[in-house]
Formats: sequence, C-alpha cells, structure tokens
Amino acid sequence: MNDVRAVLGAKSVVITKSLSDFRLHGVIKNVSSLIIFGCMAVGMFLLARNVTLFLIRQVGIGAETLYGLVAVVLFAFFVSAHFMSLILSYATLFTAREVEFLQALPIAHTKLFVLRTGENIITSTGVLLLIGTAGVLGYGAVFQLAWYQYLMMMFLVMIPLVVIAGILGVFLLMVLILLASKIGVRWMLAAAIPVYSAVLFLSYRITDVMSMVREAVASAHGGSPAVVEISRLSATWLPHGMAASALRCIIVGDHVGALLSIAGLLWMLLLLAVVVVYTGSRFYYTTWLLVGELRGHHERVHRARIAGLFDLRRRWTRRPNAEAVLKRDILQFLRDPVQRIHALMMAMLVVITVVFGGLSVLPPMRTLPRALAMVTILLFDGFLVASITLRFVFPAVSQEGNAFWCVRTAPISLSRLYWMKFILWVPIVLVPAEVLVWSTLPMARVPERVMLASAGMMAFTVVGLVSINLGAGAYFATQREDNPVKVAASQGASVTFLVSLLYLMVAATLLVLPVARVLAGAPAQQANSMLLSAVMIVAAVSLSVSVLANIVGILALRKDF
Amino acid sequence: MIEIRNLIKKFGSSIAVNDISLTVDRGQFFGFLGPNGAGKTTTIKTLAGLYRPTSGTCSVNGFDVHANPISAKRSFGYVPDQPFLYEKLSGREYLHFIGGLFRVRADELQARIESYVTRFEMEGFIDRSAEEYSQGMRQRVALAGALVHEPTVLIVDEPLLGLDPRSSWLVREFLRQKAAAGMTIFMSTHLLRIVEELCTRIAIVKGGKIIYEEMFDATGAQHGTLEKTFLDITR
Repeated sequence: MNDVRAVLGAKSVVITKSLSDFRLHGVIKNVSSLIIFGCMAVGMFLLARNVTLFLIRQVGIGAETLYGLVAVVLFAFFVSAHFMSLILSYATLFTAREVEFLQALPIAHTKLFVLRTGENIITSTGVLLLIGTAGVLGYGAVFQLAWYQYLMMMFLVMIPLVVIAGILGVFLLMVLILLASKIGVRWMLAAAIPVYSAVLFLSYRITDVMSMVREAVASAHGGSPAVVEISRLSATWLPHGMAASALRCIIVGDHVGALLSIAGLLWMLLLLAVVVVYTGSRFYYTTWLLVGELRGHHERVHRARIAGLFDLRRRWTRRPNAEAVLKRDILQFLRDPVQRIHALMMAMLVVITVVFGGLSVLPPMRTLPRALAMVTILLFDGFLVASITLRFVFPAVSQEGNAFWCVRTAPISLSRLYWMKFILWVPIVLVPAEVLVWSTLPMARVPERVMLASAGMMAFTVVGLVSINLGAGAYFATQREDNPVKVAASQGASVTFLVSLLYLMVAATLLVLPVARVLAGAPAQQANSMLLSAVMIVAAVSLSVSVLANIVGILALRKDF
Repeated sequence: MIEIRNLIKKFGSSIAVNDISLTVDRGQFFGFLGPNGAGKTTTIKTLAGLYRPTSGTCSVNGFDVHANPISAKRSFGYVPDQPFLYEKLSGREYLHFIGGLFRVRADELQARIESYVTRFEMEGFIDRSAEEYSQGMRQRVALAGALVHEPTVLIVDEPLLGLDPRSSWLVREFLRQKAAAGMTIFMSTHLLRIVEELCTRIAIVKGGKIIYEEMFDATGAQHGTLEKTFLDITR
C-alpha cells in the first residue's frame, strides 16, 4: 500500500499548496470560493426549508405526496451527478497526463483504477453533493430532527446516493469504450444514445414525475393521495427512490424503515462497487490503451473531412486575422473527440428535455402556483443552458493552451481575440436555449405573450451567461491544462457555475409577478407593458453583468503568459 | 533594431531581470547568454510582449512593445524555447493561421510557406497533425511561422534545442544567411560553439543583470575560447 500512500500524499500536498496560495489571484479565488460555496449552501438550506414549509402549510400537501416530490428532486439530483461523473471520468481515468505518468509506475492497475475513480467522484460530484446535502438538511430542519438524524441523512443517504451515481458513470464509460473498440465509435454512439435515453425516460416514468405534480395540485384542492401510493411502490427499488424512502422514514421516526432503506442503498452501493472494481481490474488497462488507439485513429479519419468551409488556406473575409482565430477555434473544437462527444451528449440532454416537455402537460392550477411552475421550468431550462455554457464557454480562453504564445506575439489585439470568442459562442448557446424555452413552457399552459417574454428574457440571459463564463474563464484561465473537461471542473469553474445559477435565479424571479398578473387576466395592454418592463429589467441586469464580466475577461487576457 | 531600457521584471518579491539596458543594431546577430535562471527567457518574453515589465521599456524598430504592441509585433518574429503548437492543426494549417494573424496576402503566404517547407525539409510531416510532431519538427514549424510575415527582427530562444544534426545545420545556415542579408537577430542559447560561429555581438547575463558585453569577432581570440570566458565570469 506504500504506492497508494505515496500517490495520495502527493495529491494532498498539491491540494494544501493550492489552498494556501497567498498571492492576490489565489486569495481571491479561495476566498470567493469559500463565500460563494458557503452562501450557496446556506441559500439552498433556506430555500429547501421554506419551500417545504410553504408546501405543507400553504398548499396543504400530504406527507406521502411530499415524499413523492422529494423522490422527483432526488431523481434529478441523481441524474445530474451521474452525468457529471460520466463526462469527467473520460479525462480523469483515461486522457489526463497524470494517468500516463502513473501508468508508467509500478502500481497495480486495480489500485490505480480505484484511486482515479475516487478522485473522479469527488471532483465531479462535490459541488452537487454540497448543494444536495444542504437542501436535504433544510428539508429536515422543518421537522426539527435530532442531531443523529441529520448525520444519517448526510452520511448514510446523500453520500451513498452520490457515490452510486458516480460509480455508475465510470462503469458506463468503460462499457462504452469496450463497445467502441468492437463496433467503432459511431456505431457505439448510435446504439448508446437511444438506450441511455430510454433508461432515463423509463426512470422518469417510474418516478412518475407528473403524478407527483398532479398530486401536489390535488392536495392543494383537498384531493386524494392514491396516485402517490402507487408511484412510491414502483420507484422504491431505484437508488433515488430508496434515498427518498430513507429520508421519509427518518423524518417520521420510523427507524426500522429508515435502516431498511439505508441497508438497501448501501447494499446496492457495495454490489456496484464490487462489480466496478472487478471490471476495472479486468479492463482498466485495456480500455486505457484502447482510448489512446481510438483517439489517434478517429482523429486521422476525421481530419480529412472537416476542413471545407473552415479551411485556413481559404479567405472569406477582409479581416484575415479575425477569420484565422475563428476558424482555428472551430477546427480545434471539431477535431477534439472529447469536445464532439460532449457536444453530442449535451445535445442529447436538450433533446430529452424537449421530448419530455412535449409529452407532459401540467394540470390546471391557480394563478400563483402556475406562475411559479412556469418560472421553475424556465429555471430548469436555464440550468441546462448554464451547464452547456460552463462546459464549452468557460474553457474557451484556457483552450488557447500552451500555444497562446503565438497569438500573444502576433499583431492582433487581445480584445479582438476575446470578442471573436464571444461572437462565436453567443449564437451557439442561444439556439438550444430558445429551443428549450419554446418546447418546455407550453407544459405550463401559458399564453403566447408570456412565451415571447420568456424567450426574450432567455436571449438576454444567454448574453449574460456567455459573458460570465468567458470572463471568468479568462480570469481563471489555465493554459497549461489542455483538457477542457478538467478546466470546466476546476475550482474557478465551480464558483462561476454558482454565480451563473444565482444570476439565473435573479433573472427568473423578475418574471414571477408580471406572469402571475398576466395569468390572473390583466388587460392585454397592461399585461404587455408589465412583461416588457420585466424583460427590460432583465436586459439591463444582463447587460450590466455582461459589461463587467467582459471587462474582467479582457483585462485577464493581458496577464503574463 | 532592438532597444531595451532599464528593464526590471519582478515576480512577487523576486527580481528576475534587474535593470537591463541594451541596444541591438540593425543587422546584428546578438547572442544572449547566461547560466540557468539568469533571466534570459524572462528578458526575451518581456521583449516579445508575453510579460509586462515591472518598469523600463522594450522597443523593436522604434515601436514600444507594450505601448504600441500591434506595430511592434508586426515587425518581429518570435520563437520560444518550447514552441508549443496547436495539437489539432497540421503544420501547414498552423502556418496559414499565423499568416492570417499577420494579414499576409493569401498568394504571398502560399508561396512563402512552400518555400519554407522546402527550405526546412518539412515535406514529410507538414500535413500531419502537430500532436504527432517531435521537438525538432515543432521547432522548424515554429521558426517558419515566425518568418512568414518577413520580419526585419527575429527573436529566438534556444532555436537549436532538440534538433537533429541535419536540422540544426539547416537552421544555422538559414540564420547566417538572414543575418548577412540584414536581419537583426536576438538569440538566446547555451550552445557556445554556435554563438562563436554565428554571433557578431554577445552579452552574458547573471542574476538578472548584464555582467559582460562584447562585440564578438567569431574567433573568440580576445579571451581565449568563449567557453572559458563564460565559465570565468559566471563562476
């Protein structure tokens, strides 16, 4: 075990040094992380507590329905954690330079696999775990639990749930790599995407999200909780169902039931860990070698086909320097298999959301709950857009990479370089954002003018989100890290993501009251004026945020390289 | 011509370059020497606009590199000690990219690239992805990239690092011809034999300060061999 201890020791030294960086940049990064993570955790705690109180006292929701809604939230949480792990594990386990270095050392592949899987779970799901745990504790606070019940929620429910999600991500990736080595990357993707979507859809149906919402609405009108009983039984064997069941039992003081659900969760975790460690011991080294071969082969085949419109030898405009930067960024993106696959995965998530949105219609509700439901859907869309922006826009400046010297010593202004990236990414993010708005908001049965206002709000929000991510990406740029996934999972990226979420919440909240007034039947002229005012305020906020973030970004580009 | 005036560059509390002043005249082949950590690369990076000076100025052909960067950068070419390229672009694409940045006319650029591909014997790899390149291949592509806009000043940091004997000879011959044709070359290197062979003037830097400067007549007769001089004064 000395080898494992040495690797862990080196890691802890790196982390300690990074946390005790007393240079201005390091202090700003660490202090802002602490403040933002802390505020986010406290905010999530208060939000979960107040929403639970609202649902119990104002809406009059029953315990069973509340349990069902918690299962829905945990489902979204589980899928997010699993997806993050899946995305990041490709870098952490296969393409990171550190892995190449470690593979050359006399360390057993199984140990290496376990170490990297552990690191992957921590880095990919750490922020989600913080937010999720704060939310669960806020939910528990409503019921004034004993201290050990909070500990049970944290250590026996939330952490096992996240670890299961993380392990599943790693396991799935190894299966996909093995499959790609047998049938090729394209066929693997062609097979994996429908299967993955089907599994997600099935889990969504089993969790019976719409029934939960219908039941919550029915509770508000004094309806029966019969539907929830059925869905509770069908979702209990899924990890998020077990976690929800455990939380419910902890809250009602049913310790036997809680321990049974926790035992189920831990048993699933153990089983999965054994399967994954076995798979890792058999296939990690093989899949690591395969990734190297697949990358080389795939890139050579792909390169010949891409150039065309983006061929650097041809000139289309009278500004060859700006054109060269734009083409280079596009070519580098298209030729990087990690970028392509992640773009495909993000597109898949958007398509799944669009399909789910199209298939679901919320039951009739009173005005304020309907406005809140609409804003919640809009926030979910925003969350997806923020994730896309974080993954692709945040690393855009870092992607200049070690070769940044050749741009820095060329006669092109750094602000032009920055704006080229901005111009490239705003439309790319705007398209899925608008598709999401137009396909998911009909679920809330809102009138067309509200849809238009939401689309307008989303357009300005996209400008703000791209600016925040590009600016912060430049400020926290790490040109020495050539893996964009690692950049998008860095400490700076986490801080940026939380700032983006805060900004989204402010923008979405500005819409609640005008929408509620419109839904309450305000006259057309008054409704239009209120909605327009709300969009204008969002525009002003977004443009202010944008100006600030872009100034920070442009100034950061001038740092020593 | 290159002019560095009272250049100081600090990183936190440590001083990497400590009040360096020098002028390299048009057509001079200037050798910038010094032991590891002496401040050579920091000086060169500041001169190339990659570092902001703590104080002092650097100018190339009369343009201040930090006050008037676009004009200054248009007039020089730069090759770093580790010439990282864009891994996903081929060498040829990289050269077209650089040509675009420097606004070289497309037809002229094409002709120059072909000429450098032949000159540096890059035919065998120029259309392959840069991630497959060895250090020597990268060095040759980066050098060609620094020259596609036909600069009058060339700033090179360890240009022969990692080159095989033939590539090294190719680059040396090229630099010699360019210097003879009037190009100003500012070169940092540890290869003292190459300095004796190519440079017309040298400066030795230590602890961020220039401790020795001399017009060099390529024989090293004044102080015996350059190696002996270097070892004596950097002891």
